[in-house]
Amino acid sequence: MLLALRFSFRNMLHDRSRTLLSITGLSVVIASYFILSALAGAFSSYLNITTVSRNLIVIQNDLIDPSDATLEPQVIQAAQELIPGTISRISPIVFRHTRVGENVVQLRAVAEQDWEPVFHLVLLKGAWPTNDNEVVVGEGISLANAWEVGSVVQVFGCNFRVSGIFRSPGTAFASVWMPIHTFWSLFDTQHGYQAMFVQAAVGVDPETVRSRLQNDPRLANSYAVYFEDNYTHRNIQALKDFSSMMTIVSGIALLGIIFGIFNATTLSTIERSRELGIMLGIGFSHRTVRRFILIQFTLQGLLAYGVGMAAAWLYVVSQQALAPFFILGLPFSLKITPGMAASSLAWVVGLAFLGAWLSTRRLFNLRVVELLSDS
Amino acid sequence: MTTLRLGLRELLNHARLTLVMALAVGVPLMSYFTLGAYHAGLLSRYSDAYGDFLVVQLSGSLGEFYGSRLPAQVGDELRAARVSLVIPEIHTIVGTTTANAILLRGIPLESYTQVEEYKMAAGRPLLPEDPPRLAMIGARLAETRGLVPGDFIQIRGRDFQVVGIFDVGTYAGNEAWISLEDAQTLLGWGTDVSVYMIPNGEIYKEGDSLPGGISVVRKGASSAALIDEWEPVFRLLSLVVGALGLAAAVALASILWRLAWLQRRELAILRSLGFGKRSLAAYLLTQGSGIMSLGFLFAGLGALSLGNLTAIRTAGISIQAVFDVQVILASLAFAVCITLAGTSVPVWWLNRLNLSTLLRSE
Repeated sequence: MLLALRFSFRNMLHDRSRTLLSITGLSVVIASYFILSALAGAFSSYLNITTVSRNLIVIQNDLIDPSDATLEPQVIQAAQELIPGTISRISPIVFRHTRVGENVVQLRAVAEQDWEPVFHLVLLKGAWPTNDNEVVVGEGISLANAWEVGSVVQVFGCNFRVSGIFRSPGTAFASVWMPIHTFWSLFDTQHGYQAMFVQAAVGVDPETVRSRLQNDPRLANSYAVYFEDNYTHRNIQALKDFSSMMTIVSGIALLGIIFGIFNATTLSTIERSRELGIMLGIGFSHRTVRRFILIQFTLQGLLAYGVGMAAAWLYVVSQQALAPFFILGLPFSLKITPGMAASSLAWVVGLAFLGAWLSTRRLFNLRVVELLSDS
Repeated sequence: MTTLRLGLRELLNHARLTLVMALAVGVPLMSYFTLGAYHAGLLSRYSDAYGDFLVVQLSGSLGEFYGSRLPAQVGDELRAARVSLVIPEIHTIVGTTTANAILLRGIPLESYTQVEEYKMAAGRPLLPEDPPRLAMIGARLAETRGLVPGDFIQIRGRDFQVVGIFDVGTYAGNEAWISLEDAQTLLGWGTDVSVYMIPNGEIYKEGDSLPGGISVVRKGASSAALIDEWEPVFRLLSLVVGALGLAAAVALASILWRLAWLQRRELAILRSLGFGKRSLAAYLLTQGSGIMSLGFLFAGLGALSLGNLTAIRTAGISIQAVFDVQVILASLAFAVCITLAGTSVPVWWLNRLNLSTLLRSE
């Protein structure tokens, strides 16, 4: 094994310019694969949100976007009647998608006293709004837009000061929150809501609450009651096709490794057929010679893996720092995870080996004289 | 001609290598082709600029898709301001899951034809005297659901009979149109609507604001905003495809260089017979073009298959690959760039070697 490794390194050094070209080509393919996988991972991170919430959400059924929904007063009343025995707290919410600056963001307006106990917002910087021209923003959106406490953002044509930055579970960290009375006084004199969050009382199974509300005649057929995490998961399925597409494209990019290694190995064996013939002539077995070649080109794949991963990591880090991207209010953060690095390593080694193996199959059938005459 | 023939013959001698090399350059080409086709699909379906009309909507919303809701009073104020034509519409996305979502548009049957240009692909359009529970649907939606005029489509739990299928060539092909009154009843909106369409060039102009966080935008602003939202993804993918193209050029350069080295004896003889440096360049360019032509063929077939087998569907909005002349020409130009980049390095290297160097190696 050591002999094979030494032989491979010396061979690569001898052909350093060609080795460099091969490794450069392969590392670009591997870097591309990493970036595409990171993008697919960013999409699927939303698809695989695993937070478990005890909150229920009541919303008009058959509507994909909550911003077009209407919450009728009798629905709020149906829930209020279950307080305090079955339900501990309800929180009707206004939900909008709106452009703030360059991005579409989620705007949520809720009674301020519900922000912490119902929605689990945790203030990281600044303070909660104290007057009508203040809002708080999620840490995801503040990072992406470089908003700080004191920044001014324009919502529905009005300027608001960012009074604080919060952290919260789920996708709410990418949203802008304002007190409900601010929203109503500025944008909705009819005082309407889009949905309602419901918290089951302590010791009560939330499924029981869901079932009771769902079967209330005031909600039947027009409203659906979901667990909050299920509802988020349902809506986020819109990203599934993008995630699948990125996975397919990254898989296709990986084919470049097989082709690249196959070509490099084939050309090398054609050029070196005389040397290979001599090796066989002095007693090396076909298997040993083939092993040398397989090791050499798998090593090239490994070197390309190191360079490619480093390049992709640099790109991802700089992209996150300079130009993070948002789609429909959701921030997409590209990450190269240890799991991704490990699975990519397995793919690269496997595919490089496969490419070299496919290319050297013919070697097994050649006699020494044929190799020498080929040269 | 001799060098061209020699170049092609050398490729045929290494047919297996040529095939694999063509596949290797085919991968980035296919990615470029597919990406270009999806981008073209996005632009062609979602660039819906229609200069004759403006849209009054909730500021910052994607009112022509969802997320805007205005009281009827706004329409009254527009009419009071002497706007000559005020057409209310409802736009939302309905469905129980993102997989069965439908873009829904509620339209006033007496005036919708003044706003939207469409062709009927089958059946008839909705008419002012039509009873409730009738719908006309876009060709894309009809194709996806396998619907024809006379069939029923379920919208928010109610069956609507499809009276016609329209073709508009934009994202509206994913929409179901029903009367404004039906839409208001279905959504429980009372007299509220999503947007008001008003003629351009009258009292209001693009960018004007109305009280209550309402603004006037050009028709198509929502789809332009949607394209903007997805643009970062396309930029990133373009970068990746460009990098893969670079990798293909490097691989091509490597292979042509090595093929030329294997043929150095023949090339030296050709040079000694009076063939110039240009002939050597033509020799390599022939090989590069041969590999690239085959790669382009593979890429085209792969991209067509991928484009036909996959469509990106997200909550009633779908993006389909469109293989138009522009996409094909751009992909061809990308292929030519890879060929030239991949050929120029070995050409430069080969031209640096003089005749005696080429022969001395023997």
